[in-house]
Amino acid sequence: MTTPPLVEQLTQKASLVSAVVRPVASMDEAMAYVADVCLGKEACQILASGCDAPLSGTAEALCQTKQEKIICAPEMPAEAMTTLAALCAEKGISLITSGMRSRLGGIDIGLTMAVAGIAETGTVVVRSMSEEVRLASMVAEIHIAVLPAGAIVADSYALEPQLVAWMGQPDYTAFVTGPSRTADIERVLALGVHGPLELHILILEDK
Amino acid sequence: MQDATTLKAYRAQLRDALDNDFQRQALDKFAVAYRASRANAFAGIDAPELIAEIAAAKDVAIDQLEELFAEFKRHAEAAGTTVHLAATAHEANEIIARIAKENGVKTIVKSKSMTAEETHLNDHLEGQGFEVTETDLGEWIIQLRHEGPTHMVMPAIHLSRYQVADLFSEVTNQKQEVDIQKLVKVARRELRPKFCQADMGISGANFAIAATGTIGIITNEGNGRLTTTLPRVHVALAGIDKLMPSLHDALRIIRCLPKNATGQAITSYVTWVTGAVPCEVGPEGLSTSMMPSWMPVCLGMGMRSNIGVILCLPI
Repeated sequence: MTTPPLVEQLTQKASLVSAVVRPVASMDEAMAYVADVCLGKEACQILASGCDAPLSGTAEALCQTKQEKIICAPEMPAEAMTTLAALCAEKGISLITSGMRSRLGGIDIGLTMAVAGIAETGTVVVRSMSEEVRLASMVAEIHIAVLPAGAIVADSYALEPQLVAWMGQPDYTAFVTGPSRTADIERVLALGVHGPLELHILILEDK
Repeated sequence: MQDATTLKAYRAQLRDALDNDFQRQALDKFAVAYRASRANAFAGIDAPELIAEIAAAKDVAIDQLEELFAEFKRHAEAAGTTVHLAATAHEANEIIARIAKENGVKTIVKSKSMTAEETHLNDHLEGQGFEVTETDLGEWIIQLRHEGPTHMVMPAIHLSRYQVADLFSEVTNQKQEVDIQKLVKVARRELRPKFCQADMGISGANFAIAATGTIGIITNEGNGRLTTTLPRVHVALAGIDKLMPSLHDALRIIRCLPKNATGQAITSYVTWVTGAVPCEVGPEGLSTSMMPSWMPVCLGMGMRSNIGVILCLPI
């Protein structure tokens, strides 16, 4: 099967801004990927990023609050959660769906659904009226977004009617393109400032 | 520095800045690299046409500011936002200080707002006893050094990694390595508790969309998202020139602004906030404070053409 052009374009554009993009054939495959990524980061990053640097007392204390590997997956489909819960239990990963306010020191992975993708810029669109979804995608070291291939549009204009409809009531929607970044010191690019250090996009193939 | 009160003092500061070799070289290098990255970002796009379209839309909007403001206010307030209009910079600062007092606020985190730079909001709030922390990396660095921004997109472009390492060593009371990647992570950890503890978040807004009462914020670091989510009160401060009729106007600007500012196709985050969204702590609520910027004033002076200028807006 050939890759649809929009999937191909989104993959290429997102990769240009350091996002990791993977096609997945099923939600089960996506959940297996999530658990693997979490397991894979154990050796190098037991501590929240930055905790290996010398810090002031307050920031150091915050590092102490994070001890186990945690995936927060608020508002994921029930079937995905069943699969992920089994994988996490097997691999000794803590899986939560709420309580992000008490995990602000950082979690390993924030897992969310993307409501749309924009091929032109390699963007995922995350709609998050739930504070748990917002915080999981902001505070996690790695944000993984599952993006149904059918939800990818060519450019932001194509998404306009949908966005306007969402904005008809209180709403918090974000275009997310690559991980958090800065070039504020000597214009040198650094990934992972206040938001995620990595963004992974799992493109869920149409059935 | 924003403290020169006489021409003589200003000239002395100007001379110091011109004599700063590092700063001159940094700006020189930037000027060359910027041209290339901008051209690269606009490859395959008719930039002059896009810019002309944006300017034309702004020209139309500027003639309808009163109507747009009324429409924005109506939609925003229906969604739970309180909208204020300030006639002067001082009044904008006063409104924000009042919101802070009424909500029992002690600590404030700020993401970037060029309007707040123009109104000297931090000085005003600090003068009233509030603790204000800038959370954009460059803005935090210059706040710690008690300086003003050198550049809209890169506020701390005048500083070297050595100076930042010295500064962070002071702030943390620990010797920090001269390594940009590590220094960025130090800022991540040092500022996270500030986000967690803040009672109020103040952001700018790149767009105020009349049709839905939505604000749009363009950022790269993710501090804008945390500022608009973690504290129980959020205030957005924007010039009235950020009013536009529809989302389409904002999407069109997004096709241009990041390419123009940093050579990016789009920034890491574009956040759209409509009304008051659920917040797990304290009373929920979003207040949007708007003030007329210098632009309407210039209108009366026959400087209309300035309005079409696309600035490198806050990133």
